[in-house]
Amino acid sequence: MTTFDRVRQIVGESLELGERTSTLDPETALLGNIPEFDSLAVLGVITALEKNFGIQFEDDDITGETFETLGNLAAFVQTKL
Amino acid sequence: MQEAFFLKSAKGGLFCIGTLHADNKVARQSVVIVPPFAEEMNKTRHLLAALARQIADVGYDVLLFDFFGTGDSEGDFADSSIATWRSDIDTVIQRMNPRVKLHMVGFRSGALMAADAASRHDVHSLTLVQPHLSGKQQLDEILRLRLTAALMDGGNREGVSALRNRLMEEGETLEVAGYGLSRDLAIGLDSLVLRGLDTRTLATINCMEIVSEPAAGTRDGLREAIDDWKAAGMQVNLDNTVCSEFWATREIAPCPALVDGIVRRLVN
Repeated sequence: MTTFDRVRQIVGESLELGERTSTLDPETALLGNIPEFDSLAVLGVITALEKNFGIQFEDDDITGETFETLGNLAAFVQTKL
Repeated sequence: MQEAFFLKSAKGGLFCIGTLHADNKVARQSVVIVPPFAEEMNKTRHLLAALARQIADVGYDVLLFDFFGTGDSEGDFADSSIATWRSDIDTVIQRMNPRVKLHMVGFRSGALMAADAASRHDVHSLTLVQPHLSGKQQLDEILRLRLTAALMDGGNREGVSALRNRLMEEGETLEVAGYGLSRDLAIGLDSLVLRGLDTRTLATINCMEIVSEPAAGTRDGLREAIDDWKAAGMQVNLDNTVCSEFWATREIAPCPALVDGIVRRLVN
């Protein structure tokens, strides 16, 4: 599984998107686009990514750009590996 | 029969639900359930009530309460502190029948508070459900939540350390997800550590972990705490239950397997 696939799976599980998960692609906008993506959900995604990939988000990493699209998020995770 | 009532505590009435058997039908043992804080409590309440019912069904006394300033208890969250909540637990324990064995079941930060109470009372067993390993860990999560909320609003995004500074140095009460987080509460939270707690009088500690698959490894930090407790001569049980992280899910997530598992440990 690629990093992107794993990130997509984790986001899908965190947001409880079910079947909609497979419809997400790198260009899918996250912030402001997916209704389930509120502040609690963002925290949940961050925690799940940290746990699954063994990485740590710094405060400076939590930006609008990182969470703008699923592709951005996956690319960010890749840089932390 | 499960009842609801208010228990008088120093700062105000504590909302309780539970079953206390009349003296002529003395319960074999008693249980106090300690809930998590804030948003985690909202998501967990249904499960705690179901647990209380099932514990009463096996003939035990059981009380579930809301901490001062939370749930249906009196007071404001912003006026709460760990010291207040410690005395809330003391008040509830004093309500239980002193002639029978007392068990405590704590969820998340409630597990930290229950373990803390075990150093002040004669507690026979402690059941910790997905405990926060420290109050500091939970506080960092709460501050991070404030950060992500600011991200969504496009507002001023202060880092966790800057927020800590405002809270601790300047004594400002921070609003996070609708809850007023005061310096008092934050200092108290920072002081709670699962591993360092004095649990000498306990016979048994049950750790109930929520996992996504049965073979999941034990969390760092918890493993060390378990080793400490075993070295101190306690019986320690570790059960993995597969279900969603019910304290954080969007929709209410039941977890009957967890409730069954806890009751099983309590009757053994």
